[in-house]
Amino acid sequence: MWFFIMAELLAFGVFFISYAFTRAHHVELFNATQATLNRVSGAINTLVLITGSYFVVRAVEAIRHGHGVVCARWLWAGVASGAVFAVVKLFEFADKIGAGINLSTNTFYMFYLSLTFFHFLHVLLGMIILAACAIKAQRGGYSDTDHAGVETGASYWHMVDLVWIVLFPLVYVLH
Amino acid sequence: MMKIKASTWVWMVLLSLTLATILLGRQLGHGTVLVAAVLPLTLVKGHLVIDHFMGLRHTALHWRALVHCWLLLVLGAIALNFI
Repeated sequence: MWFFIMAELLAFGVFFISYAFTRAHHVELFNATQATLNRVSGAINTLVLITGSYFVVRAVEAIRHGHGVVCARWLWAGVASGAVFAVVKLFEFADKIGAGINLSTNTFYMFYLSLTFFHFLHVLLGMIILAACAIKAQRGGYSDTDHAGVETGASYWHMVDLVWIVLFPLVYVLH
Repeated sequence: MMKIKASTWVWMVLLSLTLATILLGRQLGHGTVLVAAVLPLTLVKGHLVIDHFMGLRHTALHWRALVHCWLLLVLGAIALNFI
């Protein structure tokens, strides 16, 4: 699993550095276009993902003590936080698409749309993984000694959170 | 119980640092000062997630070092291109 997580981090890392490098050559364009983003939704989504990560930490702690049902509840809370993130993000995408913005509008939007959509897909996959773990936990599929599945799913979810923690200031705040 | 209490503190610190990032983005205008203020907060948030949420403090040292190095390298490269 850690090989997979490192591969994902490397992919996002290349994306982030490419954004920063390209911006250094188009500072005016990036600053002007970034000002059109909805920073409030970006900020809300940061708080939501961090809170989702906390819920998942609680789920892992619960299953380490053998509390499968409690673990499942925390995992569903994590899934719910992912759903809130996705809905906020979809409103953001709809707003941009409604304004006629797409990947070819300019270089900033090419990065913004592709980076955030790539991350969005990871949130969806994370939600599926957490939901699968929650269903198994509910059915008593994990115990205090056998819960590697929950820990693996949790690590993936935290990776998605970690990536957003860098993405948010890079794309929404720094200018 | 101690683990839950520590995680709750980490969560509250992460929320506070996020709010600080948003406020700094509004107050500091743009340029080097903003980058110098926001990226260290991002570094702290990343380290907290890696060590306390991902639990890498308790895994093999090379995985922990790799993820921390990833964060340092990415934020360092961002800083170099923004300043």
